[in-house]
Amino acid sequence: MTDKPEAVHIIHIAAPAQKIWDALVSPDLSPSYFFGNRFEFGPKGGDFRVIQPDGQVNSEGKVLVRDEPHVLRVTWDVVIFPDMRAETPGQVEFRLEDLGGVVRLTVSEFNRPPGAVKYEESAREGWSLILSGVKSIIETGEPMPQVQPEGPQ
Amino acid sequence: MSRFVYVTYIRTTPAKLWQALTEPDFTQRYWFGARQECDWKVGSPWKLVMPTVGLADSGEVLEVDPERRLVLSWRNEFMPELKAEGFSRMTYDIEPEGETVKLTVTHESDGEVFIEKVSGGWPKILSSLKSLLETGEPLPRPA
Repeated sequence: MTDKPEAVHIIHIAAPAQKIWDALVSPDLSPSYFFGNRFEFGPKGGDFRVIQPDGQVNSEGKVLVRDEPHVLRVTWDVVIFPDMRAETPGQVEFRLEDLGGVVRLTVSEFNRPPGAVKYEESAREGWSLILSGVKSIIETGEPMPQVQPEGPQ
Repeated sequence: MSRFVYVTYIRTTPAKLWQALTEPDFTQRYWFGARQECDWKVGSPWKLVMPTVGLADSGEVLEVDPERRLVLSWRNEFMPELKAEGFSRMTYDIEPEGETVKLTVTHESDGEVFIEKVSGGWPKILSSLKSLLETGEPLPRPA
């Protein structure tokens, strides 16, 4: 695989990188901006999982990079959608860069499986919702009112 | 054709978002000092003036549907290599989604360099807009 992402989602947040990192890796906070789903990130080499509100595993993978509070990169296998699975799962990277008083959070998707093509639009909307939600809860202390992502479920 | 699409969700109303996108005094606060000049009628000229460079961009209003959609033609005026690419087309689409509003910015051009430049600029500007509407404060100006 190349290291050129197939999709990039960017948001700027007025907060220290550590605070944004904590919001990403906190299993308690993630449901408020991730449609009720919970992120679980293990240590480097450990497991990554997305748990749905009903307890089912939505996605799973391995933690490839965990460089706090700068880079978090995982393999991401959407196990809940069989047609999105591939021999080589895609990767997602969260990157935090301090621009001076504001942090740029970049989510990059690498090596998306062929089956992901039809989910491209909903993936963009989904990531936009997640990043908008992360920014709102960090900057205002309140989660963004719930919006359900569109697209295949 | 190169295309940049950015979607953001803001806790606000379509009326407030429309005002934020079109009122020069409000726009200047989140757009890091840039000021729009326009009467928002179809066919009217549109200008963006930046404190550092003066006239930065110009174009024309192509479509106006208050609180729903705004389309501008848009050309850079201060970087010769971008100006040479001619007019791009920029669309704001506003859709209420529950208690939030979804804003989609689509910027398209036959020139690739211009779209590459705005791809870096829009996330900063729209993040600052979201901050201003939700917290009352825009983002600090980038260093």
